[in-house]
Amino acid sequence: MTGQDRARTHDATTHDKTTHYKTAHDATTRAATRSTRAGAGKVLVALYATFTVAATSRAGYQLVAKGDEAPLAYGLSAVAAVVYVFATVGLAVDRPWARRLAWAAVGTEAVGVLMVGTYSLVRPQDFPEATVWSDYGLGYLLIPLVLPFVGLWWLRRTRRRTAAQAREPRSSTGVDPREGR
Amino acid sequence: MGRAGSTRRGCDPWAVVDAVVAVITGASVALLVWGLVAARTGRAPGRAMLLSGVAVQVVLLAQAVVAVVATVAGPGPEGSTVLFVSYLIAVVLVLPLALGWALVERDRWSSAVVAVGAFTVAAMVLRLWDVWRGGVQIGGPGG
Repeated sequence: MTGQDRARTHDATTHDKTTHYKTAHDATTRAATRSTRAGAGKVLVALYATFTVAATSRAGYQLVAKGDEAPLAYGLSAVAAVVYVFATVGLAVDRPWARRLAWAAVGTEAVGVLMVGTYSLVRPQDFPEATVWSDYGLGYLLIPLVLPFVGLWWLRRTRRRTAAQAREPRSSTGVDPREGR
Repeated sequence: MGRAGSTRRGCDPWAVVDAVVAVITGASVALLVWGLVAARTGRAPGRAMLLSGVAVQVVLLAQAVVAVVATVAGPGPEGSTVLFVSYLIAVVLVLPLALGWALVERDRWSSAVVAVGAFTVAAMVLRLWDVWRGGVQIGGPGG
């Protein structure tokens, strides 16, 4: 069992998620373990988790309490909530699919906050109640505006190390981290 | 417990007492600064910081119990009760998660996570206070 695991690891079958952890203590391969949730990524995950709860409860409350008053604003609240959920999962989980999910979610978030922020300023009458992204997230100290760009930067930064690392051993994984974009 | 606290409303003086809100907010901000300084200087959260977080959490729980009793037995918040109770539930979950994570993975960034948690608590308690006194908009001030 253990022997098999080890053999698979040496086969550079990096689909095997244990690969990263097995080499965690090797200083030269330490960079490979650099995941989106490690180190400073922890803070990012904490912030995303916070905004997931904020956006989800806001959307839930708006839809339940007064669903048909302003369907656009409440619909956008729900979209924001879903995006935050995916972004949080994508950043918190250390797997190739999660990284792709994070790219997609954080990218959507960046576009979303800019579009909704602009839209809410141009047509405030469509937003009788705020979404997380209204006025570029001013009600949340503009953190929703900054967060996606920090997130994209972080994804890029952690990707670089992983990609550099992937070049060293035989990288027959087929999971090129750069594909995530 | 908090019956002695001052209040602007005569009818239901003790559920979200101004003084308790002030204490929680002040303590959270202190914890926030502490966490940030520790993260800045590269230190993991120590026992003192974690215990301070627990202390804030105890006050939060006490306030939550009192607020629930006041909502069930008394007139409840001026604002939306659903909103109030949601905040009440959410706010007591923040620090256990932040402190728990900081306990499991101890490095400078867990200090920052504690700071994020403390900031969240401060913001939520102020919102809670707002809803209690009749803030109905959920978009924060200015609705």
